[in-house]
Amino acid sequence: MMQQVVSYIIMIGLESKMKIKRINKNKKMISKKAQLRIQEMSFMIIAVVLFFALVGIFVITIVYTNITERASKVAEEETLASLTALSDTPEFSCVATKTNCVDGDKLISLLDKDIYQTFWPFSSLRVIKSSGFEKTEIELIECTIANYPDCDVFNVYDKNVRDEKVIASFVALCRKDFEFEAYDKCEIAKMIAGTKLIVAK
Amino acid sequence: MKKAQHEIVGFVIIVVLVTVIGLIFLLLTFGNEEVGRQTSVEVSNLLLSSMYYTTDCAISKVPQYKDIQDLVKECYYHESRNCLNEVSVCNVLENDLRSLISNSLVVHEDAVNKAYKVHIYYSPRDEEIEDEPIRSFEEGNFTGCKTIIAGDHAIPTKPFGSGNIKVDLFVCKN
Repeated sequence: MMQQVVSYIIMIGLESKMKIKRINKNKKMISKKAQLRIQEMSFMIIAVVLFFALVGIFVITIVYTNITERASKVAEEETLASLTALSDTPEFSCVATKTNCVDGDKLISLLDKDIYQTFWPFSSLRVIKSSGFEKTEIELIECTIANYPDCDVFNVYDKNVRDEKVIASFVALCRKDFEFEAYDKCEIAKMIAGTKLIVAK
Repeated sequence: MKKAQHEIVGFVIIVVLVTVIGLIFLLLTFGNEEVGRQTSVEVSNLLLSSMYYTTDCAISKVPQYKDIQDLVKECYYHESRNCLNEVSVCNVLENDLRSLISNSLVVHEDAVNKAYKVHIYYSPRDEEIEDEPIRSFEEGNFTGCKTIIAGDHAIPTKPFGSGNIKVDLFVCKN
């Protein structure tokens, strides 16, 4: 009888031990699954963040490139505007109320005057008539008092600097002509100004 | 196994959705932009200078030769009028302006300036009235432009007039 009771108790003990083991196993399985889910979630979040980061970098690159392009364009337009303003100064402007117009007769008198090299903030200044647009540098006929107006280019001055960027702007070039009486004869020309580039050492 | 498949399908759907949303965003941001159209001091200066060009057309007497600006007005108000050399003012206007712009902008399929267009029209002050075309011409092919540079010039008509004559120049850049 006693033996039976002991074996019964042992049986119950074993069974409960088995139950505990099974519960522990289940718990372990559940925690493993949860860990997997957390891992998946974190991978997903990393993937999404990476994707948006890449898209962001792409967009910023494009926008930044445009900004740089626009900035250089604005700088160029500003220089062009200053060149336009130059044609409206008393030294160049036409007698008639014309804007963006250079008086050829004034221009010819400005040649060979070194004083203007320090007067304007350009390293070189020249005006090419439309007759010289398609000519090479060697083919251009330089204007002097002797050959004016049958010439192509007015070289106002040139400081002969090494690193120079030239900017050109279209202007009207007018002069007095005579055919029975005096009249204004205008044509198109290019005013070309050079600026010295600041080169980083 | 089935659960894993479901999760993979879910992941793919999310990735596809995010990609589609991203693409739509990019298209909305950059797709709406037409070919860049900018105004340019260079083109405006060219147009302004062209307006002062003295032509060979005198209407009343020699040497009172008309400039392009005068011819634009003549062509609008007296379309059938001829110069003293019997050439139509409108033809002189078109030919001279065409050669001026062609000579100034080197226009070629492979050059920086691919093509150009000129529109001359009367623009009434009253915005409800339509513009009245005077002359239009172009050179080169206006397809596949990287940017279109524009310049314009307004010619005042009569004092206290009801509008202006406008000249627009569009340049197609490669």
